[in-house]
Amino acid sequence: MANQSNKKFPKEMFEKAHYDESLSEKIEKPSLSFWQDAWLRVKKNKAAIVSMVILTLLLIMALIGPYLSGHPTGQNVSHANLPPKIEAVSDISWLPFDGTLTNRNGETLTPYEDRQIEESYWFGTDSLGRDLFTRLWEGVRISLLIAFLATAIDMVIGVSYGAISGYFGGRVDNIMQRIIEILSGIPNLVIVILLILILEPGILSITLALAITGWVTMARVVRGQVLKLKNQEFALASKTLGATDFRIIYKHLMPNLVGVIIINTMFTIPSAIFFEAFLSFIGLGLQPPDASLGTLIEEGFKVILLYPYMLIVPAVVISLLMITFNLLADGLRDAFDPKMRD
Amino acid sequence: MGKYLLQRILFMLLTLFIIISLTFFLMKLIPGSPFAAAAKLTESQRAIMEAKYGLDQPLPVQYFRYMANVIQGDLGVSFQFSNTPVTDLIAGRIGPSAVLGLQAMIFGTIFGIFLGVIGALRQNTWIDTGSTLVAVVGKSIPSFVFAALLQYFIAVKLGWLPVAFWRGWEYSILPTIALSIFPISIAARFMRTEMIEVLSSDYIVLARAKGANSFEVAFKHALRNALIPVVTVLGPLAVSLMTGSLVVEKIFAVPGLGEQFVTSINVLDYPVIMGTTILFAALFIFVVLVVDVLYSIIDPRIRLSGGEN
Repeated sequence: MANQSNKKFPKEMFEKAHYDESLSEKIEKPSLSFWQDAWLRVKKNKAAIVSMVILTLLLIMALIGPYLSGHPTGQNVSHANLPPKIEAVSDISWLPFDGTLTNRNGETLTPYEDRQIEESYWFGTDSLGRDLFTRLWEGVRISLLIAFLATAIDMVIGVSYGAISGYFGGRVDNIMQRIIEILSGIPNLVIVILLILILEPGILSITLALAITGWVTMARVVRGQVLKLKNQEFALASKTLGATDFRIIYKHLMPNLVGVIIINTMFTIPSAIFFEAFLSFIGLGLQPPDASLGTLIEEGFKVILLYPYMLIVPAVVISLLMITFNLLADGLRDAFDPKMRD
Repeated sequence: MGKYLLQRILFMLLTLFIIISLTFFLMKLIPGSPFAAAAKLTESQRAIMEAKYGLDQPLPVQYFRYMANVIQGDLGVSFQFSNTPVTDLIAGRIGPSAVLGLQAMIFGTIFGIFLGVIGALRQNTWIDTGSTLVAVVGKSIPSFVFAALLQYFIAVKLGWLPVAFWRGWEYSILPTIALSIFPISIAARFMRTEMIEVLSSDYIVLARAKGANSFEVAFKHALRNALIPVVTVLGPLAVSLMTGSLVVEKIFAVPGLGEQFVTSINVLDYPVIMGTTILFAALFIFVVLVVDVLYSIIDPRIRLSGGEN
């Protein structure tokens, strides 16, 4: 056998391959930064991308929505309790925008014709004749504002607390962790309700109450990461070169924490939206005439039997907000930290 | 184990003590007196009323008196229900809440586990997508939005179930479903993850290799081990049920603790707010402890250690 193959392939046919040692370390693919890598992975997640698009639309509407319908924000009692009507689609029977209402006996009411109202309100009007389309987007704006503010405060407190506790360790860590343990033993709901009772409901007090209860999770996650990172070589190297503790935390540990911080923030925002709506629903929310998603739902719930659209419109929007935020957060978690993947 | 348990219970009592003190002082921070709104009282009448409830005493005296009373199981008297003791009010209201909570917990976890298991067994099929969808939607939609929509469409529009009130078991169905949507979604998500992980472990491969059918493998071998970590989410779930009960009971007019709590907040009946708060907090702490201990019993691999790790 060996002889045969030797005959078939004489030595002259072979040529010595050229091997360049310097090429063995060559990187074939373009190197990706942390963000590029994360973006590549988010892009593969269809649910996250769709959520991001819907969320962006909702955010844009929260900014420009109140000025779109052309109706003033004030009250107009003669236009009270009008059902949704959109001229362009009022002929499509399965869409609920034909400006009619069905009462409890099954009769169809046509308030627009009865009261000879020329204008049409896209999402109807409330009991004081305010345009619900305008109010809805104002509500979304305030709900998001509260959620973003509370989350930002959470982030600052949580990250600094967690970083200090984890970095300094020892007795500092021990005391700080015992405090967290006790704090997390108190149900959030209790603190939030008590704080709101004291501070009088308003945008600031709700934000504060949400922020005070929300930072504990962030502090825990950040501490865990810092504990892991602070003993790694790059931190040690920086310390040997004489960097201060603050510089090590800020310059060297923080960039490595960005992933977990973003993931945590993305989960905090929907929970803040939920708590704001929850507080409004049990009567501790914003006071009229301010509107948030929670107060709109509460007002709608009171008249659910007569004017169901007043509940359904804000209910759909808050559900959309919550679902898209959660899906996007899931997607980001998978992208930033494949180890935490479901 | 004994030392750990003792330490945990001590911590529990400390937390409870802090919560009671916190609620007490926060309540005192609220401006005005409970009788300030009753305009018909003269100055001297109000002084008599305040003396009767001990409100004329200095704050530390009031605090120690309240603490002593709480330890003896006396939570004070309600302002809104003509001096009924708070403990009586709570005792009268706890039944419906307990029924709803237990039903939602049992139904929620069992149905959620079922969804998670079939999702994991039929991974990446439409069944899996469906179960994940239910989980995401259930986790996202606030319980009161879901409850209000359920009430409108199922009870009012279709008339299948009673709209509200508490006059028999069928009245508890809709509130239970509304409350259990969160447990369902959390249990389903968690179960799916665990089940997928367990299904790829060596002993499952061995069971398959020995010829066990997939049904037997899934339910006899995999499910048991996948169930263990699910115990850890029971604590947070119980808490979410307490939060949910406030709004769901309000929506369905269930005469439970949550509904009473919301009413008390709206009329500022401080003793009832404080009593219910303390009860909620105590329940919460207790549930977390039970879950931790339970977990170590089910899974001997997890060693309980006291404080330090």
